[in-house]
Amino acid sequence: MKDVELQERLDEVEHLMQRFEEDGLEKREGEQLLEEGMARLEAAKELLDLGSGKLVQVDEVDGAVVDEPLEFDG
Amino acid sequence: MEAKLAEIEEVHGVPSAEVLTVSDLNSHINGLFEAAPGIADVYVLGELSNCSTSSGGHVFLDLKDDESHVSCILFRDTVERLEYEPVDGDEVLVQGTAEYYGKQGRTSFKIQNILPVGEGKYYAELRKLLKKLEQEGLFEEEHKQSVPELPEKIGIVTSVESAAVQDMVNAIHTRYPDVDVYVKHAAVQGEQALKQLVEGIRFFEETFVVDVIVIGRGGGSIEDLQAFNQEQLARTIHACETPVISGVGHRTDETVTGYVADVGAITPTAAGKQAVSEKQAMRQTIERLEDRLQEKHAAFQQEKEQRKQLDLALSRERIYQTIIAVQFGIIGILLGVILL
Repeated sequence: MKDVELQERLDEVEHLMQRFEEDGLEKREGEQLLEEGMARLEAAKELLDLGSGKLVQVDEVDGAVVDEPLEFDG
Repeated sequence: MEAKLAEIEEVHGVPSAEVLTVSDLNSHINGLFEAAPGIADVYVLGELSNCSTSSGGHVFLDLKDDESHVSCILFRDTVERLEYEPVDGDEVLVQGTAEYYGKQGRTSFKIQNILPVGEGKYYAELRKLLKKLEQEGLFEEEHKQSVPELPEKIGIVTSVESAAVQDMVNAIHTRYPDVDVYVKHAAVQGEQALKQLVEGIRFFEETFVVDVIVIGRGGGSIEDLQAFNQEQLARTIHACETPVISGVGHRTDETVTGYVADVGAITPTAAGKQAVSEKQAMRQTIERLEDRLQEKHAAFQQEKEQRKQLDLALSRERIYQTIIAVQFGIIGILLGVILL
């Protein structure tokens, strides 16, 4: 599920920031930690794209699923 | 009018004296009502349904038994005089007079008094079912599944011709414009309703799997909502492994479906809102985290630059000290040579 993945990405960013605050400044890997965090945030943003926002009516006809766009009057 | 009647008589052979206008007909019916024994100031036993109060304070309701129903009205002065407040499902004894309203061409029973007799048959059965399902644990919190924050597919089971489906879809797409919504049509009242609602849930559970199912309809009388109070639908929802959100009727409508669903929303719109998080809010959460990360990155870069400058300054200092040392060494050597 995407929301589980999203939470994992956000938790990872928090964890990376925590590591950075603890010892990142003193070590050469500080920059790397922050870059990893940015990469995970970008991945999190992509997870927010769920679909195309389509609205269709679905049904089962002779064992096959058929769909057609659903539009409202007014 | 006379010319028209004469033409009818000539063309169709119907004597003009035998042709009534609508007003004539209604006037005759009204005369029958006024003269009829047994429909004035009588007591009628029945069950209340469709109770509603107009802005003028009059109460409209249906009185029904197993086979038929009659529309009734309580005028405001009667409502104010009564100690009893009519409630859908109550069994009552009403006293009043049947009247005919010619302009609308319909009958109505004008109620003068209502005496509550007991709980109606329908409500009694509903209460019995609720108790049975509750004792079996179908409404327990431990059975409630959580609704995913980011559902990729949402399935709606309702009538595609209803206003409720628009309310649900609008609520969903306002909060999350790019989520895909699939609607499986089901009658929401009448003979086919129960079967089609059950089929709709199973369709999204087994045939075309979605991440969350929304089932619902707009408000109506107890009879209109009957399918949503059936044991078969309750058990289908309970067995469903996909989270189900119910949004049936208005705020005050309580249904078995609402109790057994993972989320019992108070209206179809509320059900739509429960189906998905607000995309904007989720984006803001990520952006706040991004801001924090960028602040740390900027602070890190600044610190790194300062260290670099410090290292440079220290290097220069060492070079100066070395030059001075060398200069003193040369001077010493020169002094030594001169003294020699």
